[in-house]
Amino acid sequence: MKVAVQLGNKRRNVEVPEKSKVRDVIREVKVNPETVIVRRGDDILLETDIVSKSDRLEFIRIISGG
Amino acid sequence: MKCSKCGKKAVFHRKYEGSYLCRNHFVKSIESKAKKTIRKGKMIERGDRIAFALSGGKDSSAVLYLVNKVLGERKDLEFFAISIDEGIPRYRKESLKIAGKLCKKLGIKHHVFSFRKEFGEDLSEKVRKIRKSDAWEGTACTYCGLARRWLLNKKARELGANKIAFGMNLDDEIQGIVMDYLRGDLVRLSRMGGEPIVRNELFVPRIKPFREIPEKEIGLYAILIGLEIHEDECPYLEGPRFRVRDFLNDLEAESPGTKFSVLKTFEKLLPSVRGIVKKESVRIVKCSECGEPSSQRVCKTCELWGK
Ligand code: SF4
Ligand SMILES: [Zn+2]
Ligand SMILES: [Zn+2]
Repeated sequence: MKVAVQLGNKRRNVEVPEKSKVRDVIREVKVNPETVIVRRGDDILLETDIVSKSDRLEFIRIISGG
Repeated sequence: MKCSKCGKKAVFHRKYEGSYLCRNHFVKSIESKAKKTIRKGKMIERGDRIAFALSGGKDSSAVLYLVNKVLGERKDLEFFAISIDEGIPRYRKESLKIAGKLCKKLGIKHHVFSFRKEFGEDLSEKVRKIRKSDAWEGTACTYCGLARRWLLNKKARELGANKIAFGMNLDDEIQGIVMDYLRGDLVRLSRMGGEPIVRNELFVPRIKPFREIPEKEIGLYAILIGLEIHEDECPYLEGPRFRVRDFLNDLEAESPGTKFSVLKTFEKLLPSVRGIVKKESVRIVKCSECGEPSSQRVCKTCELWGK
């Protein structure tokens, strides 16, 4: 199934198996889970939350600098 | 997953503690952790006048918000914010706007000082010029960090602050510690402890209430309390520090608790490090050019920025 991922101002579709977890999407996007917070609408998701088809996930990068 | 404290929907899994926290309990836990760090390090004391170094990024915004929330009622304390405009196109403009708005919302006095005004040129001009010449030393961050610290210290002192509060989190702290190890810089390492250090009357002691809180948790805190956060990365960001950051994040993802372990181990070693450094202690003099404190006759800021 496909889920939509918004990372900064880039949007992409990620292909993951049914019943995948947020953790799997993070792995697919190749970011370190320590550096990202995943939101679906107003909900903050845990790495173990299940994603479903056509979910739109927002990846908020948590980085320092400056 | 449900909050380990109240059973509501969890927004965070604190792996190194094995707990799940809902919005409310997460926010409370960050505030009580920061309060504990402040108390333990005797960071804030009666009558303090504290300058907050505010970049508009999540860490400095959150530390101002939090300290003001938990201690803002205290009549004996005074808080104000200082922002430095290094002159980094786009990036700093955006974050300064956020900083200004936050201060207005919290009713905190906000002072902004710029490299252009104080050193005669922006960081962007400096970088362009110096990259072409043989004088290039280190990275943009070397020039930037040095001048910013110089300016913050000077302005905070002139504005009557007896402490400067920084937003540095656990990740920043341990990156600094590991960097000092890599460079073999024991003098810097000896100053990485949790309590404000009085080195000289011209240096305003620094406090870091978030030094025991991981960066990701500060990020989540900032989101949950509704701070506007600026996601861009500084365009000049470079150097070994960022490889150290990624390396520590990889290790933490593999074995949660690694970051704390780096800090805790360092704190156990700190008395010995200080013992060694004391023997080779550095004298602080006034820079002959600018009059600011320095370990050499002419301070590094004057050397690199020709002030
Ligand atoms: S990343 Fe480097 S150049 Fe950019 S603001 Fe920070 S210290 Fe300055
Ligand atoms: Zn709860
Ligand atoms: Zn000087």
